[in-house]
Amino acid sequence: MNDISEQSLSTIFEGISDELLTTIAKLLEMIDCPSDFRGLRRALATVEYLLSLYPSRITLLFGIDIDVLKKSISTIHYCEHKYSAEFSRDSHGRGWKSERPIYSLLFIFSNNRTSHAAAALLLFLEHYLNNENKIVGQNRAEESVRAFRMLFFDESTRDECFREGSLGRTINNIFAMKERLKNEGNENLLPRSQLGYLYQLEHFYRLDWAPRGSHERKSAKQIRGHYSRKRYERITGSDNLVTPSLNTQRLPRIYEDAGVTKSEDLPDVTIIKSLSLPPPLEPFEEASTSVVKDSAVHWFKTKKVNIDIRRCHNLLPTSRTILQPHELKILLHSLTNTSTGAIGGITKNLIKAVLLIVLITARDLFSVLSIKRASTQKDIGFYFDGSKILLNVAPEPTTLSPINNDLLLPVSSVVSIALPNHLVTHLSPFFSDTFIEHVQQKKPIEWQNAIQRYLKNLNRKSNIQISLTRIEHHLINWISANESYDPVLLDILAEKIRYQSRSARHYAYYTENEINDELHSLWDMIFAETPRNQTKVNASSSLNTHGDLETKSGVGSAFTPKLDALSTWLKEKAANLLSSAPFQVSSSLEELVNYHNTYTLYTIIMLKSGTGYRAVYNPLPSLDLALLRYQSICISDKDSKTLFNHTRVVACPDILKSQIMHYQAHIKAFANLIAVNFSHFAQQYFTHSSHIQHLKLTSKTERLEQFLSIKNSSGTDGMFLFFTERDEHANNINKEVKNSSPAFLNTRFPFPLNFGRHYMRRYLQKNNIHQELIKFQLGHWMTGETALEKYSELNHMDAIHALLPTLNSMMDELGWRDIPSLLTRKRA
Amino acid sequence: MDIELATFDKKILDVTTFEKISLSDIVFDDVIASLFSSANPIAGMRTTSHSLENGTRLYNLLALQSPIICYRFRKGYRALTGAFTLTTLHHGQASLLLEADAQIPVFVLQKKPTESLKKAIALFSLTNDLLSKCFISDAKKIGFYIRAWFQKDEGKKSLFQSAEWSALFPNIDTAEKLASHLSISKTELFRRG
Repeated sequence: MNDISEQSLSTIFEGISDELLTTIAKLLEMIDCPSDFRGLRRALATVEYLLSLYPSRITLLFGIDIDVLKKSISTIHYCEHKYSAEFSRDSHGRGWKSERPIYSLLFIFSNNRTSHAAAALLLFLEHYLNNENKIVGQNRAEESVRAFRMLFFDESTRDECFREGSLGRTINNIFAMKERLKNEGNENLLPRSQLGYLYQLEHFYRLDWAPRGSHERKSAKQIRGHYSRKRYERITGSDNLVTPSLNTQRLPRIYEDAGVTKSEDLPDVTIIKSLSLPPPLEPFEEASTSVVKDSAVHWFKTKKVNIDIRRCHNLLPTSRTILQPHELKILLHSLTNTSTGAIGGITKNLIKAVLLIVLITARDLFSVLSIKRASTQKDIGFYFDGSKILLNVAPEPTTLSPINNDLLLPVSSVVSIALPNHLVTHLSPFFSDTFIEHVQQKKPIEWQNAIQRYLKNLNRKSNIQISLTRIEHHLINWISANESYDPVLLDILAEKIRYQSRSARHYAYYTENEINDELHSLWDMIFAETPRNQTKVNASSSLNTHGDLETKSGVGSAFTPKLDALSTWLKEKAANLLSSAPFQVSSSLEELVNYHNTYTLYTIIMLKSGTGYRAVYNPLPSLDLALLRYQSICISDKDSKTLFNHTRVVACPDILKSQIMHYQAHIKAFANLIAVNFSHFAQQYFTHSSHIQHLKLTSKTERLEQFLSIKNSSGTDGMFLFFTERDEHANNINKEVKNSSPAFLNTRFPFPLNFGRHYMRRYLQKNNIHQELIKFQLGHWMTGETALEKYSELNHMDAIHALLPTLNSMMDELGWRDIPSLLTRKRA
Repeated sequence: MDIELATFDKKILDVTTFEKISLSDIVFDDVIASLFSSANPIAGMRTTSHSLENGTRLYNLLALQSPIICYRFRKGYRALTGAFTLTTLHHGQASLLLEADAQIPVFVLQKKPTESLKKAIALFSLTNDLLSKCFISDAKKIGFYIRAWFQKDEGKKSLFQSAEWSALFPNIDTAEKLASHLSISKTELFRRG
């Protein structure tokens, strides 16, 4: 930028007193005049108009005496000089709006010299010039001027926003207008650009660009908005409690591509509605209240924990809803014996075969009866090749459209599951060509009757109570009670989506081999009649049975990265970080910023990989949330400022812990190095790394406020800032500082950003981590589960210590290493 | 250039005032920013990030001892020298050791200096530290900073004959002289790292 100095002015305006020259220089500096005077006539016209209306305020603002000011303006106007042609040009210069916003504003307002405009403009100018350092330091000059210009020239906003002459009232007007626009009318028809300008201008006048959250409760209307007005559904785990169903949640496309799922989360509050009681009777119709209206009975009916087999919750392995060992043994014995006969026209052996399939596939009877026969090996349905029976299933895909990315594990739509070996011998006689036809000869209702009769007979003989429902739900409830197997396995096996695996389903990935191994180990655990020590033999033999199955692709999560692809990426980055010398990367700004960006990206990806952060907003907005003393990190992804439903404490692997400490040292050194070039951000980093920044928080409210504001990752920039450049036009390069939002990270990182959660879920599952710990790390608790509270035996420290060895080995296997920043090394 | 700087130096006492201004009113001048972006002197120092925390808390004394010279620009001030001091003060403010509205003592030039004068003032302060006080002792690094901060004028054999350099160190006009001034070898000085 070519500045105007007195020296250059003295060559333009010859023969003018020094005092006048000084004033002119000061005036032109104030209005940011370009050195060739282009368009100055118009800009000055605006200044003159302001001066004529508000002489004292202008004098104060420019710090120039009124007479001298008038004299210097007339001097500029009437003095002949070499720039006269440019001086009176009427076209707006290129790039002024971003480079000289104030000058551009004065130029534009020369066409709008009304008293109303003058009042608004002067208020704006005063505020801008008096607080220029702060506004320009935070890079808000251009957007503020734009917001002012757009709102003023918009007829619909002009009067409402700018009718007052004082700063406080203008702010109030802008705020009121913003609130009115936000609350009125249809959400789809909101004037979004107008709202954006109103926000920007309000921030400008308040000089406060941090998003302010309010602590007011959500209005009933807002809460109600999450739920349907027509559809109702029963709350899982209760008999009579009903809640309106959730409306379909919208998730921005960018999150969906990153592998975030919308079904994973419920909104903040659930509205509970009991089934309505019967209409009140007339007094004379009422029976004796002491007998009928028993509040205890009413309470029991509405609040009791459900014990229905299909809906039960909070199960223990001894629960009645699970077939107990003796019942299971009797049932299996009966299903596998070879007695003949027929019930209701159906061969007994066929009934037994169907029941066996219901039991081991956790499907209901009707779904089993409708299984087709697969004609080829990759068709859906039963495939029988003489020695083994394959059940080909096609679980519902987890994404709308298939993802084609070589870095991710491939997903196939159909997967073959081999039924357990020792049971196949009992089924195979019926799996000739005609099994399906046999089954489908009878209507489902006839099947149901026949099975009821069969079970009734069995119950009577053995003095037990087994129902078809108990058989159908045995596997599901067993898994839910033991929590040692992944509930997603049954989703895939039964091709049915259930509530329990709602969130996990999106993240689980199994290759064909793995799902067969898992299911066989599950089946062996439950159904093998042999004692434990022989189970292993069975397991290994079952491995052999599907050795020829395809291993390349699997089912489930579409966003799980390949191990080698991920570790190649990170090794490349690590090598990149280690290849330079400390002095080289810190000596010039360009190198410094490049190194910082690479280092930040490496750290942030390690953070996502090591904790299972959701890929939304900015991860780890403050170092205060890294509870390194406890080897843990407090995560609050997807939360708004006042809510805590995604806030949780998770384990932090050793490598990540030391990397965060390195990063802490890094930002200190980095802040010191950028103090001159990016003052504002250096201050921000100084604050982040300061240990005593909380000393000023003396009251409880202040401390809570502070926690709420740093917790909210969408409202704070955080520590992971990237320093980038943007080509404005021609040769003007604009420096931009961006926070680590998904939109930005997507441009720097080839994997879907939610890769960390997907990879971690699969790794933990493969290492047989207890389901409760997986939920702990990923934040997948279901509503109603009281994890880590005073009624639970699990506490944070135990959970973290149980998880750490596995997480550490996961990080090692991926090849992560903690890299100290070169900026903190000796710069030799 | 020589004369301009010399006259400026002579008159400086008349056109400078010593004032207490608010820390938030002062920013770095573009000249300093561009010198730092081409070659950052902090990078040459042995101290690491912790230097600021372990350093002084005597902010007023510091501001007098290594003063900030600035000039008025619009409603605020722009600093030409004292980058290290100002950084320390900013750090002090960020870590709550200084008030948010802290006042600091500075020298204010009454008139805005010309572009070349601004650069000369900033360079004088930095090179004085570099070559006379030798806050960096590594010869290779000294060479790096000098190459980054001074432009070789066209037609001149080396940057030691450029106007910017000779205004500040008129007697050192060759690399050999600089090397002997620093008592290091010339090859060391110009080895490119």
